[in-house]
Amino acid sequence: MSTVADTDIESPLIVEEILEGDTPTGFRPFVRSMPWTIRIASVWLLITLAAALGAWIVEIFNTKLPGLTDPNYNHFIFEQEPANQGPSAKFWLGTDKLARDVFSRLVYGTRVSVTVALTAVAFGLVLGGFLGSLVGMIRGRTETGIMALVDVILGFPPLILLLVMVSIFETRSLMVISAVIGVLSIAPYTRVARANALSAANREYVMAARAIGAKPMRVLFREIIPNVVPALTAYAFVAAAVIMVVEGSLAFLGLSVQPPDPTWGSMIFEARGDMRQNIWPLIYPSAVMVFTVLALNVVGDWLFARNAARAAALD
Amino acid sequence: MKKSLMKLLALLLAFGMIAAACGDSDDDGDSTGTTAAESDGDDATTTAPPTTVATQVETTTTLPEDTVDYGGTVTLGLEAEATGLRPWEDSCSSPCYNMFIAFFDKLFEINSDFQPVGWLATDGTPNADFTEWVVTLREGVTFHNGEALTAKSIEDMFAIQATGAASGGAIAASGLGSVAATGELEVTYTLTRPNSAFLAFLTRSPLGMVFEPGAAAADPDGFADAPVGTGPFVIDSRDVDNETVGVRNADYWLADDDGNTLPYLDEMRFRPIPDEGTRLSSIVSGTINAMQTLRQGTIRDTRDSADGLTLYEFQGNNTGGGMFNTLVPPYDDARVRKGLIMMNNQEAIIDALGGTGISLPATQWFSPDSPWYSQDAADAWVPFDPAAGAALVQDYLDDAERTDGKAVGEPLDVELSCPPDPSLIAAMQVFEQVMTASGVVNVTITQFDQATHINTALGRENGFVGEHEIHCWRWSNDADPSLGLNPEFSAPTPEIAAEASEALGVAVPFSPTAFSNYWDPEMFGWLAAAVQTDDFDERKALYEQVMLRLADQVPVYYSGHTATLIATTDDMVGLNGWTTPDGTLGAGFPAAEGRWHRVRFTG
Amino acid sequence: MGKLIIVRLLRMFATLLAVSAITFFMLKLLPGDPINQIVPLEKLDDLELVAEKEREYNLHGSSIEQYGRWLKGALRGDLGKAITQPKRVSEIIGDRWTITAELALVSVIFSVLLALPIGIFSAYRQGRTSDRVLSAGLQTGLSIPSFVIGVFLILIFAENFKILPATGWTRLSDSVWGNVKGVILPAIALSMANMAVFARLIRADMIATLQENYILSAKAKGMSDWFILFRHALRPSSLSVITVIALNLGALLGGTVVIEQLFAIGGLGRQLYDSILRRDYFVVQGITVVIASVYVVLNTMVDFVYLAIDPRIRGGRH
Repeated sequence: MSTVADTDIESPLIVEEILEGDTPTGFRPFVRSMPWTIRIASVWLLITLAAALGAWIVEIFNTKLPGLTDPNYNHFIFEQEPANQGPSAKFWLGTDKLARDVFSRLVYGTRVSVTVALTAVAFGLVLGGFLGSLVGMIRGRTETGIMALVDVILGFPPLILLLVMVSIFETRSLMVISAVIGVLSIAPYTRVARANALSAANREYVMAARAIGAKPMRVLFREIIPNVVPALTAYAFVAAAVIMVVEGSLAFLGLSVQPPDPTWGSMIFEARGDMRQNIWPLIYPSAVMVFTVLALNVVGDWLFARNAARAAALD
Repeated sequence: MKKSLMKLLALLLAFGMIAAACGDSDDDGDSTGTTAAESDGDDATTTAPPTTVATQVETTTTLPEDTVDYGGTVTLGLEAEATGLRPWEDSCSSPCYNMFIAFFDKLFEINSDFQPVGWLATDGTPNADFTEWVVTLREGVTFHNGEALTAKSIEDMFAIQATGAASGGAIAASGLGSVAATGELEVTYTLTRPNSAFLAFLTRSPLGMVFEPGAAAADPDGFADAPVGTGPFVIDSRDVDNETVGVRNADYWLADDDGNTLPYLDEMRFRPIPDEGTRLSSIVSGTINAMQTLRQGTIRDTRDSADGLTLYEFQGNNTGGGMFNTLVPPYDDARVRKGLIMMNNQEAIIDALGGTGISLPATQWFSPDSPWYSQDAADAWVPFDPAAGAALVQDYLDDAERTDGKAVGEPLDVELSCPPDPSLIAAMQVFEQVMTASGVVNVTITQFDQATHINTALGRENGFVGEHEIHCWRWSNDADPSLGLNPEFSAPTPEIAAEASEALGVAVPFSPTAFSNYWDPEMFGWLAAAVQTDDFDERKALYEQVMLRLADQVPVYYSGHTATLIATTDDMVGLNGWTTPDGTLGAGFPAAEGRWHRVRFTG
Repeated sequence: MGKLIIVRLLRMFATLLAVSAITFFMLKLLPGDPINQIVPLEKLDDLELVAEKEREYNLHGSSIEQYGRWLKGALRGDLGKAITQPKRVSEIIGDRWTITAELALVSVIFSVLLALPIGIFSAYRQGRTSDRVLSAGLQTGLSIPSFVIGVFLILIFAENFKILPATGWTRLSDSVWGNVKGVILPAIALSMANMAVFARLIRADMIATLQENYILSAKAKGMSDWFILFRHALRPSSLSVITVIALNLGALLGGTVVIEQLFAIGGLGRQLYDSILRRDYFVVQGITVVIASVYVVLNTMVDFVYLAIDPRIRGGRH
């Protein structure tokens, strides 16, 4: 087995473990192949996902979940519960300056942050992935044209295009923010997908399939895309991490989803003004954001290294 | 004056007022009132004031004699950058005022009784019906470029002011028609209508700030970064958004009581720091040695970290709150307005702003310290009573005639909108919570950036009705109640202005900044009458009637009065206790607008 | 090779053109008409004045004509007239670009200075505990948003230790020492994420290089480990690092918005943010195009370096 050092970035936490054995297929061996760091990170991501799902369920079905109250409910006005409380059985992470339950806000904040990140991933994987695979396979003028467009969009420094696009909309609902970030996510995914499609299309069996006259769409979906997906998935984790920070930056400038819907970023933004009185409403969302971004990066890296090892094994 | 010109000027005023009236850091207000230390007694909820809060008179008696320490640099952290330093063109709010007053002098200042007193002028006398004001200028004052200040300067200034974006509005609002030099140092202001409060306009930017008209005419654009005035500091350099530096004006006309020329400081550096948290960090860390703020939360935090700082707090006449667009259903029904205001938990909102013990709940445009304050209006103001409020709204919902076109019994849909500022967002969410809890209102919260916020309220597209529903707003009372109240409650649309002019038989000015769109001919009459007399009691009675009407018809609602703060390191004195040239005590530091010419370091 | 360079250059200009066009037409989508801000509202029925102002601000004719004129001006270095300040856009950018450029540059230098020893050391101790701990630390550093870092840097270094200013930008021309003090905290806040990226890259490159034959032979000759690391291994590793540095430098120019706001620095980012809020279209347009141009040019230059050094690369960077 050859070295994986030709990938740009690899984390020493995980590479050695991968190199030790064959790359397994199937779910259980897949899980078993995870080093402990990846397992922890995955569990954290699952919890985050569950929190977002829970918040969505509450939102859609108007139900109650244990430990969760309305994230905007002002416990001071209605129950005379003081603001800026410490943790208690009632408020697991205390209350903020508006006497709202910080834990509930954190969970609800997950809804926005995760939804924005997942929308970006969905746009990127589906549209960017398809587009990139397609042009990577068919090449020619279409490729030149589409990649030129991708170059243009990537020619804008990150955040700047987003700032301008977000200001076009007068109301910044979750849908608007997700859609804008989603659309902007297509270009980088296209580039990654194309690169991988190129190398997949050059593999002998793919060339052979095309030589014997297999329909292009069949080749695309049977041969190219399956080879692009693993690399793209690994990229998706790292990209989702970036999106989470970007949403936080927008919120820090007061330009993310508008209140009262909490997001991690807007919680940081709002808590900052009161950090001298009560720093915890600032710490919790910051920590959760860092953990999640960290987990996404770690898992993404691991998948990258895994793919690289697999690709190397195939060559 | 031609009506169309009046309209134009009113519109220009709109822009000036807009920047001042709303949102983020803007606060165009010479507030009247006294220092926090003095007002503490009136406020039962006030926490113990920190020991370092300065009072207005304290240091005048502690000035050590014959030991004048010249020199030193004050670096003042401002909450926003001044767009430009052209008094006729750039609208100027509290942070910018600190800069303006350093580079320019005003014709009149406000004394501690909140009366205009001479500054660059020595005297201002009206004729019998307040349509003509003769102002006498001080002798021997020169501009930074060596030109002498004469009556001709003021006349030439007016030519520039007439077309200025900021001054045009003030000219319209004051009723100023022409300015003529009627002597070497005598200026005659001729008004188009009586205005007994005209001198108040000369205590403020844009009309009161004296700039060198020659330099302004020669390079109007360049003046934005290179102002020429008569002020205590001369512009040295200006790096927009980083630092603007003024150095001591060696030829300043004013001396202290012992005859030492002012100012004492070598340098004033103005540094805009938009982030409230970093501004406070900057003074605590010693990066800067003075700062100003209009945010209650920052005042609270500054009090907490007051070690080594002197705090100059001011409970001003600025009133924060919001307004309804009363031309748009359902807000055209007073039951809805009143019902919603009953859900406005002032205490909780002030707390959300961080202002508990700092900011007083407001019941009118005037703070309890103001001479214009009316106890009757305070008693008449809508109490916090969500149940009664819900009942009022329910009454509207069950009305077959309800104006919003919905089926009887259906809940109200309202939109609450503020600019994206953390403390405004917090306040908005408190209001939203109580409204939602009433069960009769569905609330949507929106956050528009400043430009959009104003545009939706201006509503040029729909005859100045606007698209807004409930908007965050802040009123500042300036030097005289008429400055804020008249434009807010003049005819809100050109159409109404035309109809009213015909019906009342007098020219009713249209005011695009009448954002609540509330038109009340009777109230307009009171407001007009109040600027036709200078009898204080008569005027006060008229303004009391206005406040009572506002409490009854509630086109606007209040949260709290805006407390303001200038903090300096405690090796500095002189921000309080400054006097006007004739020796009366000045107004201090209202709206966090510092007069830095007497500030000095105490070794 | 020559032909390839020409193609690349043409493509760069095409990209720049497209970037400016997209910005121009996208800004037309922003709510509101700039003329409302230029001409006092009531004068809007003064058609002569409106027409005059439209000419002055390049708002007359169709959008395409406007873009054409803007482009013509831009090629001559004139990016139009600002609405909210009495200045030309080029003048505003000229006043400010050095600040943002210095901030980005210093932050990249910090990243590299920190990343080099960490990356080399990690490579040297590959797989050991110290390597793993460092890597975990880097991952974490990579994951903390710059604004969170900034908030705490101010609290710690300005407020607590009072050793660095919390805010304020002194121009290099005014005071070198003042400038240095002012740039440190914001640059550190910006540099953490890049530092992690660079360090990991250096580590990976070093590991690969250390397995090359000439290194092994140097080792066999008995040269000291550190000598080999710095003299022999670092050099071939530097190419990919330089690439990533260049690309990140471009990206950073746009990434300073939040940090400039937090640290009250009057650079391009803060001006851009303010201009978006105040709807000063022409300033937004100018700054976006300038930043994007730098980014695109840096990208192209990196491509050239690659072409010069590694002729195998033909298909383009992925």
